Amino acid sequence: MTTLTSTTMATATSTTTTTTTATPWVEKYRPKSLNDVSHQTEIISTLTNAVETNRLPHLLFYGPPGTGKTSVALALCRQLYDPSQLNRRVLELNASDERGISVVRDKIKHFASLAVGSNNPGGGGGGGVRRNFFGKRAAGDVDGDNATDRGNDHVGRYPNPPFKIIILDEADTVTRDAQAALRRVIEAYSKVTRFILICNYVTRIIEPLASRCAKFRFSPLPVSSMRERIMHIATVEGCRFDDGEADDVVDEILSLSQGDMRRAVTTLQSAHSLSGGGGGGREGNAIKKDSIAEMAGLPPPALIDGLIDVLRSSKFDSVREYVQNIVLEGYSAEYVLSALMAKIIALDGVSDQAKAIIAVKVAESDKNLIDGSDETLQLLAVCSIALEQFKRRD
Amino acid sequence: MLPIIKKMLWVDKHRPTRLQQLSYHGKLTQCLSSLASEPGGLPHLLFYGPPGSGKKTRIMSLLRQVFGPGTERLRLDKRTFTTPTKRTVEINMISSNYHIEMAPGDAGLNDRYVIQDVIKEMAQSKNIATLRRRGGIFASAAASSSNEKNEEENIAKNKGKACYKVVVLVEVDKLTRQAQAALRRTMEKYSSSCRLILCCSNPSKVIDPVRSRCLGIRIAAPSHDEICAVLKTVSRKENITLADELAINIARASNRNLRRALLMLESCHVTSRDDSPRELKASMSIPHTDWERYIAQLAAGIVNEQSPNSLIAAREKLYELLINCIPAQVILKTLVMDLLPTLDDSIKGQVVQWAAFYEHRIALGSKEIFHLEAFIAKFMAIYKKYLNFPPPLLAFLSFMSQSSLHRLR
Repeated sequence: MTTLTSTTMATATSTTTTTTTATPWVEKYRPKSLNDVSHQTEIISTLTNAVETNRLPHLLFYGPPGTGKTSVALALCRQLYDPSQLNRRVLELNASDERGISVVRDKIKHFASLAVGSNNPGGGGGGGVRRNFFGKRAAGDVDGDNATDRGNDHVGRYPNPPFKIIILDEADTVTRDAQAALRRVIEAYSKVTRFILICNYVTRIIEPLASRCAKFRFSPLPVSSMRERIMHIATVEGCRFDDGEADDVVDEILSLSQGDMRRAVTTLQSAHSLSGGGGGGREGNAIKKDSIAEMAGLPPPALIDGLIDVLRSSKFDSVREYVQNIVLEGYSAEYVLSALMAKIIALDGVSDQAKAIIAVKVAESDKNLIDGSDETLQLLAVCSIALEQFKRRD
Repeated sequence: MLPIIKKMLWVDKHRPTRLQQLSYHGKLTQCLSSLASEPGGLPHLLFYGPPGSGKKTRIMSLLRQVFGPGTERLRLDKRTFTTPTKRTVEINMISSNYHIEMAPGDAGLNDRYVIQDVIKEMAQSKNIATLRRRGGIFASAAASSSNEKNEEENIAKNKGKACYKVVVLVEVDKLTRQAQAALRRTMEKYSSSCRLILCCSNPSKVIDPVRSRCLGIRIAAPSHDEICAVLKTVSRKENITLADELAINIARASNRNLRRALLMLESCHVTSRDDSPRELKASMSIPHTDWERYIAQLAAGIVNEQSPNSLIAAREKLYELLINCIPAQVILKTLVMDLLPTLDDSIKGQVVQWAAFYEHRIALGSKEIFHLEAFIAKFMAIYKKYLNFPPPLLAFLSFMSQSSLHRLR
């Protein structure tokens, strides 16, 4: 998700570290332009094309967390509009804003229906002087590296198309009623306003709304492009690893984050600050591989091995004690379940049928946990099934 | 000041307020202090762990380390929020100049509006208190002890860096989905002026997008030995001699919950105050809470007799417990844990599975008594079947032909 070319990176960090150390890395390394976004090449080329030809459809971005949906939407806006115009032209609404039906009826409709002022025609022309003045100053913060060609040129760099953009982030939490109310709004004001809907689950967007948009699916990032990014951030931020361990540590981070770039960056930053490193050029201790799993809250392999051993001993009371202990140690039952299942599937000497039965129970318990059931009881229920199945084998 | 302190519970009186004073989880404390030493890079945090493991204590010590003693000057605010449907919600907030602590879950289904309002309001302004400190108000204060001096230095080093406020949200696992979704983008958008510290006991109930934005900090329950050590320290401070045996008994009975252990210790002290004010003997019995004894009675009752009459008796007990505000899930869990030791291994698995089933129903449903009773009825059925056909008999019967088995049943 977060890709910056190395030149932009250098300039960007040198300015940001001195001014604000307070921004988390996730924000600091959020891509500033479409070309900076990694991996989602098809989407980017389509969108760049749309920007160049000034023909932008309504968009629907969907995909798992941390794949760059919000970043792409924001970068797209930055690329379209002169920084001075950005606030007036783009309305970002996310789940933190009230988005009931009344908001659709009032706020969105109001914003969408106001045409773009006549002094801001697309491409340049009237009002150019004013934009020139503002644009010059603001262009510096956005793309530091382009300082050289900051002249009259930049007027052409922003197409400033004659429409506005409404970004509906986390659109799957918008109520169905509100979505229904959006249907006609989207069509009626399409001359003035484009919508970008962003969501994790496309199924939660009602069909009439989805069919009005060009859909883009963001796939989880492959390890290779994530590794490049993470390594890059690590070197720029001065993370320290033990000799030859850098690859192992990064591999661990990547395998834990499962294609979620944000999680990977957060993990790296936390590992960095936990190991005593930080801003201000202070170097901490080396980041250790073991600390990564512990930090992500994952149960250590020894814990799961122990659980399997106890299950094999086929004594209910010792299983109960062990499970209660796991919960008291504070491990998340969800993670324990998935680790346990992975272990059981790889286990020799257990019949396929038994594994399947356990898997069904694990799935059920996982759902129950999300519904808010008690962790001890759910874990114990799974373990009692596993116990039965293990016993049957003997 | 002293008379007030005397009236405090031991749990609060001896609560550590600084990172250096924390007694167990040394490695974790180190991590926290390295986080606090670089307050600019403090990520959003998610503390999770079982109750009574010291989550809040650690959060408050961390805040103190970052912002200095100002975090201990607390005030209680009552804020009212208006939902778009013109309903008002009242929330208690505990706040200092540097942070706000609240339990938005108290607002029930309207928690979303509370989160939306509070965080935006907090995030829109910078932390004036830390900026003011640049003027040197704290630097001029006389630092008496060396400990204070260290702290002064730390704060002086940090000044200006922690230019954000902290919102501590407790019991995030009780937040609705919508409220958690409302946290997502807000956490990112306002991260420069506002940091969140979330605190919960069950991390499974926090949605993934929120979890991936936080640094998770797992706080395990203290071990029996660690609890004993704390009990010893507290009783030494109170000038009481505590027998080793009693300490370990309390630790066991507390189920590795430090808060409970300390409360038990204090109640032991109160009950024995008249006979031996400065000593706690090993032979003392540990006071259990009423509701626990009540549930134990309930468990004994249904193991004794499985009949409609016994079910009616159980219902009375259940109502009594519910009326006294014991959460249904706690009742069920305690009941199962009381029942299990009395059962034969062959039916333990079954009982646990049904308990998990009905506990899930409680979480989904709205009328708790139904599911509690259903579990008890189910348990009676399983148990009665076991009594009529214990496993040896069943094994014997399976040797017999199918037809004769049918007749028997």
